[in-house]
Amino acid sequence: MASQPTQTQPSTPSGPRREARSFIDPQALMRIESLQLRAASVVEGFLHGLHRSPYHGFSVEFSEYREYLPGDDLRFLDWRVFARTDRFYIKRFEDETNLRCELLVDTSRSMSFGSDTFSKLDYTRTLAATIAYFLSLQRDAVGLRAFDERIVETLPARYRPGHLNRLLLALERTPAGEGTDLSAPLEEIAATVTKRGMIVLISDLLAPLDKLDKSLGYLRSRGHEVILLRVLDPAEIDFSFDTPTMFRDVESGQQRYVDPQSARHEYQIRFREHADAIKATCDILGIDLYEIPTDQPLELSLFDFIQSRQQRSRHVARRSNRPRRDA
Amino acid sequence: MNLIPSMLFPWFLAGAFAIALPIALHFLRRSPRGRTEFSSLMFVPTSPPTLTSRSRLDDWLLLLLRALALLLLAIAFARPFFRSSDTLDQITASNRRVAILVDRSASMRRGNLWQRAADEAERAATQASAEADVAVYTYDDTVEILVPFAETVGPQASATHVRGVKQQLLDTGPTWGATDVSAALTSVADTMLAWQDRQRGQTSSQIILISDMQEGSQQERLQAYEWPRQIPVDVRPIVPNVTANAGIQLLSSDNELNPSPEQRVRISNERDSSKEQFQLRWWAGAKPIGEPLGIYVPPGESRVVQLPNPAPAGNVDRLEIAGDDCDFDNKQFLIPSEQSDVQVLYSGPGNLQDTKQMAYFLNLAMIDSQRRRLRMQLQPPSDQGPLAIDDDTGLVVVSRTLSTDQIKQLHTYIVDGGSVLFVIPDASVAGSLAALLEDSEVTLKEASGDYAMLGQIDFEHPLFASFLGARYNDFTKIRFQRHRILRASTTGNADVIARFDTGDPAVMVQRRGPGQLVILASGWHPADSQLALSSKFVPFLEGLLDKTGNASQTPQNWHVHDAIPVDGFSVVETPAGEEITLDSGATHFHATLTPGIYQARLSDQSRRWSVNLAPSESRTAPIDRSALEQHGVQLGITVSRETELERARQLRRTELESNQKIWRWAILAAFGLLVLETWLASKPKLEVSPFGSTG
Repeated sequence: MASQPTQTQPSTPSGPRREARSFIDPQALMRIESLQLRAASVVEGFLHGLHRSPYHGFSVEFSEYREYLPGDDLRFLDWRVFARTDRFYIKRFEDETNLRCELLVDTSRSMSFGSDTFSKLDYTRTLAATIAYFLSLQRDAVGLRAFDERIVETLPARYRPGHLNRLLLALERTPAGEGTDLSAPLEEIAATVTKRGMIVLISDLLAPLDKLDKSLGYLRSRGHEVILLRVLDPAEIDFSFDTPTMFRDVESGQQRYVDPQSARHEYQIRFREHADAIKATCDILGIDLYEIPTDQPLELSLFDFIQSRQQRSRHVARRSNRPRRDA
Repeated sequence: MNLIPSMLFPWFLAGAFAIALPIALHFLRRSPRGRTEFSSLMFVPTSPPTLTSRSRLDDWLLLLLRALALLLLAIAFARPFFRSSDTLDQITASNRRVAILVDRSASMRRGNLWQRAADEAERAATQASAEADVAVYTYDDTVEILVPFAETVGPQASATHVRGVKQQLLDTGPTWGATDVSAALTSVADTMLAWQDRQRGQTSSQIILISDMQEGSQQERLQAYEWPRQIPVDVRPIVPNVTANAGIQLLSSDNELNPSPEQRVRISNERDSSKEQFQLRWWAGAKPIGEPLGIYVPPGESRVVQLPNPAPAGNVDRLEIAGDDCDFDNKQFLIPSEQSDVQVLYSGPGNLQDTKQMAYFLNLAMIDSQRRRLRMQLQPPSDQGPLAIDDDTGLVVVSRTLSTDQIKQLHTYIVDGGSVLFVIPDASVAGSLAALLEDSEVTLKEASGDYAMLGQIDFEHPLFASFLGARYNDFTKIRFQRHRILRASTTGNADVIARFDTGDPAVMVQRRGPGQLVILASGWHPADSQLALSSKFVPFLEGLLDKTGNASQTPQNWHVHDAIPVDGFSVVETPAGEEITLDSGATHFHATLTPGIYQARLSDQSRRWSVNLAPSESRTAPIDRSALEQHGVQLGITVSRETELERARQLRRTELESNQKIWRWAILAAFGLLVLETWLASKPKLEVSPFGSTG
């Protein structure tokens, strides 16, 4: 039961990465300047192929109508339907059943790294925009919280005309911040987002793990669904440098001479250990973790997100601090 | 002919060490190039820099090319050339002369200045004699040669030549003369220039000036001299240990006609002086007169005080100042002015009360001065006896017919130095005038017609010298209603010093020995002319009294080295008591070498003068050597013989190098190598990207 709450997509070419060829190339996508157009391109392309998808029928909850009964709040009466049908209907459950999704976007300095023509932050913005666009299409409320060491941008989850535009603008103007400290902003978000909903955390998680489980645990304890999209550059996964050179940590400014050829193996081991530790934490907390390399087409990332949603609808997230035996 | 490779600037070869630069860069290439930004180093292990044999052997050809290019550049900058083995040996040094000028003025008497100057002169002479012909001059207000140029140049000869300079200087010692550094420098520079003109080969001259560089050196006169740039002056100032010095100067009375009972004295204190309080006192030989007078003069200022004149009977001979450290200029000798009685004998018509006659106006013009009291004596024309001439008679005015004895008496008087003014009253005195002039052909006649004026005056003559100047030389207001026309054959020995506008002689002067006979063709009384009523009359008479040859009227105060007129004297006694016999016919006495009282004697006559230090010599505050430079003197030191030879050789090398211009080829080759190197370096190589294995 609940044996696969997390689906980690490793950076090694397998699964969706292999299918990447058939989708829009991220490099080409990033050349589109408008974030909205970028998101629209991804979502439209995704929806175009969706009807052939085996995953037909998933969605966030649709609103329902029921007949008006005395005692119902008149505010929720649908006057348009009344005009058409001459009957009183209540837009029932719309507010309750609609998804409230908070996009937490990491803008720390490590996100500005990119071995390709775009940085992880560019990719992250596009990914966030894509998700927001997709959810808006479904009339779900989407909010945005950008953070580095503190929250730098806050846009509460809403579904309103123009809200998507504001969200996309906020995403676009979000500057690259300073260092990463997940615990403080996550705790703050856990304290401020009171309504239960879905929280999509997009980050590289390149930070010590000490407080990560605690911070994520806060979110889960509030009853939020948490999806963790870990955006990584391929060079961070493989450490695919060739030339010995001075490496500078963009967050701490620390410099170190590294010969990649000799250091690569150890790097990969340490990286994997770290990734495994995150995965273990997420498993324990019941968080869906997806590792998204920036060379992966965004549709696949969107697919990961939707897949996670689908799994969520089937399985009840378990809130347990105990390690799962059947994992 | 052997060609020897040489370098014009060999030190540029040190630039060849720059070859180490590409080598160092080559090694540096193995250290990390550039910097790679990375998101986080938390998983990156530290790895020590590793050197691979591959990087060392990578670009050895480029290294070689770069090193060669640098070497060629260094060689090009060193300006290589080829010379024959004997090219530089033919260069010889110039003929050199060094003149050492030693200040021997009175101010060098301070402290041990002279001793130090002699030491410095000896040192300079010894140094310079190693490579130059050396002469030593001494100067005050004149220049004297102490050691002449040897004319034979050589270390041995010159060293022998200047040996004993110090002892010679110590033997001669400083004089009492004033300093005239401009005269000394220009005189020696002219000598050097003349020598340079005579020389055929290259020459080099140097003047070494050893002096206390005092303010009163009269260096201002150097402005009028264009200093030759090729003669540098090396100034070696001798600075005294003691600096407090004050000088005194006796000032003459500003009004000759109103003698003051006080003597004005200027006391000047030098600006570097450390004292302010001084005492003034009269002295008579070794005996002080009266109480000393305290004077306060701040440094750099001067003050004029009035001192009561000493009593003539006290034999006062000098004024002394005390209180400063330098006593060479502390004494001012003087002959106390004494009023002498001078008698003017008038023998002619009229008396002192007759306002229409000459005697009345002559008497009015008898004005006493600081030096004399005038007394007039009348002798009527009727008195045919001897003229009342005695020892005090300074002037005899005659306007009458004279007897033969009287004419003889006047002749004697004139020959003895007396002065006779003969005023022609009318044509009847022609005989007497002829006898006086010793000319038998003298004719006189009364001039007719309108009044006459003085038309032609010799202002150079002592009688009219006081009227020289535009303010005083206007005689047109004096009209001569009557005058006599004098014709004589012996005007050759009588000078006409003024003529009427008619051309007739107005004033004639006949000199006989020290005395003179002055003839006036018109009287000064109103019947004859307006001369007595004009402002010219009294100065005219003063001129007659002063220029009569009476030696007692010549100035009494002189400076050291002045030439004193000694007409008629045979012996002069110096302040040291030495008696100097003058040559017959000597008009001036030149040996005023020391300050003091000089006395000239001739049988029973005697005359005294005081000789003092020049006031400029008391201005002892030192001036900077740049003061000479401001007046155009070229300061500096001639280069040594070795330096000069080396410069000549370098000049020769430069000439050879500029003819050969090998450096151009070296630069060309270096450029060629650099082009080749650039081409090799730009050959496409496998670019190594830091993200080589991504994607």
